[in-house]
Formats: sequence, C-alpha cells, structure tokens
Amino acid sequence: MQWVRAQSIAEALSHAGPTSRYVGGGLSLSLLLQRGIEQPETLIDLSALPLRQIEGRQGLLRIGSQVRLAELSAHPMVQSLAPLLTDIVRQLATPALRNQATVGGELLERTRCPLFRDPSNPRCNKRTVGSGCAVIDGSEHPGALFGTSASCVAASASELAIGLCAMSAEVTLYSPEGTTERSLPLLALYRSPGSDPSTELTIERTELLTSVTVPVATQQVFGYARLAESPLVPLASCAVMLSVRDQVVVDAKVILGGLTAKPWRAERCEPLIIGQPLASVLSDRVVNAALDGAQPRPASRPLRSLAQQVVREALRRAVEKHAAHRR
Amino acid sequence: MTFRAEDTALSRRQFLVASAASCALAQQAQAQAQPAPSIAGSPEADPPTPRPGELLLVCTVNGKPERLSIDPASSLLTVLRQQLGLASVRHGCTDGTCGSCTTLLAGKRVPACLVPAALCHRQEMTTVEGLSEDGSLTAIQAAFLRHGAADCGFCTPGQVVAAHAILQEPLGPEPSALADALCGQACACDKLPQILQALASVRNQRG
Repeated sequence: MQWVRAQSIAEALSHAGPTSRYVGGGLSLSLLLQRGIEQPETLIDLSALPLRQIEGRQGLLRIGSQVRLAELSAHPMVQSLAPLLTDIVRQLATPALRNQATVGGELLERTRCPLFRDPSNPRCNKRTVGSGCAVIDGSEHPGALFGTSASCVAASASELAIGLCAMSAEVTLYSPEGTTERSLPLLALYRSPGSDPSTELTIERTELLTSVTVPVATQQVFGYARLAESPLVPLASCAVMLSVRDQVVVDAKVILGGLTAKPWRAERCEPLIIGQPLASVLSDRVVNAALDGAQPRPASRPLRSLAQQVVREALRRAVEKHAAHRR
Repeated sequence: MTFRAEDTALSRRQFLVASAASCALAQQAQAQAQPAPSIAGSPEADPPTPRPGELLLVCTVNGKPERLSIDPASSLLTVLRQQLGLASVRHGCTDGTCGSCTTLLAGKRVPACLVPAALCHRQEMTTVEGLSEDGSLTAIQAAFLRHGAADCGFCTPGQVVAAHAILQEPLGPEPSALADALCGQACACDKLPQILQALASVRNQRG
C-alpha cells in the first residue's frame, strides 16, 4: 500500500484511480482498513491541501472539506449564520472524534450497518454484490426504513448531510478527467442501493470533494431533532427548514436521516406545509405525510414511531425558532 | 556462495542471552544519552530512510523528536505502542468509542486507534508520559488521586489525557458541559463520577 502526501489538488487527482482512497481525518477509513473491508492500494493524504478554511461572502458560507468538525461547530461565522450545523455537530460522535473528523469525511462516510462492518459476516451485497444480505435474511438489526431495496437495507451514515440538505447545500468536486470544478446539490450526491449497493454515492471515488457551499438566507429558520442509541448510532433524525412570511410558510424542506438509505427528502410532507399558516405546521397530517414512502420490514416496523417523534420535534423546534426570531 | 542454517542461526539460549544483554545496554544508553535516542538505539529503529514499502514518519512524541519507518496502514495506536513502547496508550475497542487510547495530537485529543499514523507527519503528540514537564504530578493527576478516580487502571491514562485536554477546551455554560466533554471516555469500573469530581475540582481551583 502506498501513501501519497499530496501537495496540491492537481497532485492528489493525479494519483486517483480505481484502487485509491482520499484520506481526510482517516477515522472511518482506518477502521475499515483494520477490518479488511476496504483494501485500497493508494492512500492520498489531503492534509497539506488548502481546504481547511471557512469563508462567508455574498450570502454564502463556503466550508472547506478538510475543516474538522470541532472547528466547524466552534467557528463564529457558523455559529451566527448556520447555528443548525453547530447544533448537529455537538450531538455527533464524541469530542475526541470531532477533533479529527473532517466535514468531507463525515459526508462521505460509509454505512454504519453493523453487518457491513463485520468482516466475519460473509453475506453483504454492499461488500460483494450478489453475496446476499444478512440483515434482510433475519438479523435483529432493523436496517433503514426509507430508500432501501431488496438487496440492501443499510442506513446512510452522515448526520451533517441531513442539516446541509435542509439548507440546500451544494458540494464542489474535482475529477481527475476534468480540469475544472463542478458543483452538485448535496442531496444529489447520495443514491439508493437499488440492485447495486456497492456504493452510496452518485460520484466516482476518484472525484475529490473540496468544499461545501451553504446559502445563508436570513428569513429561514431550522429545527433539528435526533434520537440515538449511542453517540455513534443515530436511530432517527430530522432537519426542517421553514421560510415564513406574515405567519405563512412560503418554503419548506423536511429531511430525514438515521433510518434512511440516503438523506431522505420527505417530498409529500412539504406541499402540506407550503402556503399554509405557520400554526398548522404541527399537525398529525403533516407528520404522517413525512412517513409516506417508508418500507418497513418486521424488524424495522418499530422505527416508524421513532421517525414520527423526530419529525414532530424538528417541526416544533423550527416553529419555536421562528417565534424566538420575532421577539 | 551459500550459508548453512547452523552456521548463522543462534541457538535459543544464545539468542536469549544476547537479547537480554542488548536490552540492558539499550536501557543504559537511554539513561545516559542526552537527549535519549528514539527507541533502544538500534539502527533499524532509527532509519534515515523508510524500509521498502514503508513510509517515513517524522514527529515529536512527548517532547522527543522521532524518525520512524512505518507501515502506511498503521494506526497511531500501533506506532505509539509497538514502535515507541508507550503501553499507556491502551488497545481497547479499536472503533474510537472507549477513549482508552486518547492521545493529544497537535494539542487536541484524538482516538489513537483510528488515526492513521501517517497523518501525524511533522506533528506533536503527547501521551500521559509527557503531560508533566518535570516528572511531578500535574494538577489533574493529583486530583485523580485525591478523588480516587481510578480503579483497575486500564482506562486511566486515556482518562487523564482527556481530562488534561478538557481543562484547556472552551466549555459551555450548561450544567452538563463537563459530563458531555467526557462523552466517549468509558470506564468499566464506573469511576466516571470520581473523574468528574476531579475535573470539577481543578476547574474550580483555576476559577
């Protein structure tokens, strides 16, 4: 295995190939390497690249992909312009992990499905397509409720993505083939497993995520709620964005995580909120609409009520934020 | 030209005697040399260039400059324990959640079991051995003793390093801030209440 200390984005890209992996904080990669689940031939160290800045201009917050989670949540500009991100990061993992974990690494982290991460389990379609799925075949692990397929029910790992998708964030990517950057809505970075669960992403692993850009709109308020089994195992989470004018919701986004194969936009829920008075947001009808599209299996059926709880709580917090703003 | 195995191989007894002697010499050398050599003073452990397939790691550990040849896949935990002999950095859960390998990297606490050692190039690291500058107990170590914050001792070095770091971190005003800061520091002997008392006492002393 070769370790490359890249000195520039161009140099990092020049080493990227089918058996390479970029290394940010290295935490989740290190775990998968030690268990033999990832077996790259080239590791491309990004720590010397100038990707550790947070900049704000023209209503946009641009976050370098190598910013540490602890740096993100402590940054004065993030705390004042995007407090939702601070709120999410403070509930994420542990303080020691947050010192090392990068924004890019958190967004691209592979699933925490315990059977994917267990090298003694031979049946995992994500590791070897066609080998089966030990979760679907009777494990007690519930798996995800949304976006799953007959071959994989693994939940996506990123919590930061739930909030960033609610904020309509975009990511900037460089590819070894092209010389210019491209941007992509963060939500479009993730895919459902379908018949090929081997990747969770719509991009190639050779593409380099350099930054996340978040529009900062002052009329928007956010609510985030999370239920977790332990700091590292979220069971269900939800981020809500409400844009309110004269007590009427003019725009809304509801994103579910934790029990979803990818950050999940509750599309049928949003039309029930938009155009309605703020007071009608906290209704059972809205909460139940967020559960539309759930594909429960016997083991995951109990997660439905958890999902309802986090949606209701995230909506309540967003409404509360709006009230606090007006005061 | 060929060598027969018995020409070159040491007998088990010769090997034991030889290695005991080299250990003793190494310890002596380490005690006399100023500054001490990186590890045992053997040429293999202090390579000018990395071994084939390996990577050069230049770093500072507990104030001592180190120059090591490492496997690119090694964790910081493996390098600290196996190449530098720092057994205080415990091999616990290896998934970053128990806190028994907590180490300071560039002044920030990290789980050594999940940090690739190769990322620590030109960085400073501190384990419990390096917290005190003069060999006396630091304020937090003394507080651990006063409050009986250790039982079996397995997780104690990591707890002390974490507590040392917490005292330098900004802490929120909420009553649970200290306990939240200890998230990820597990103690099977259930000494977290005493660790919290030790932490709180040092914070209060410092105002």
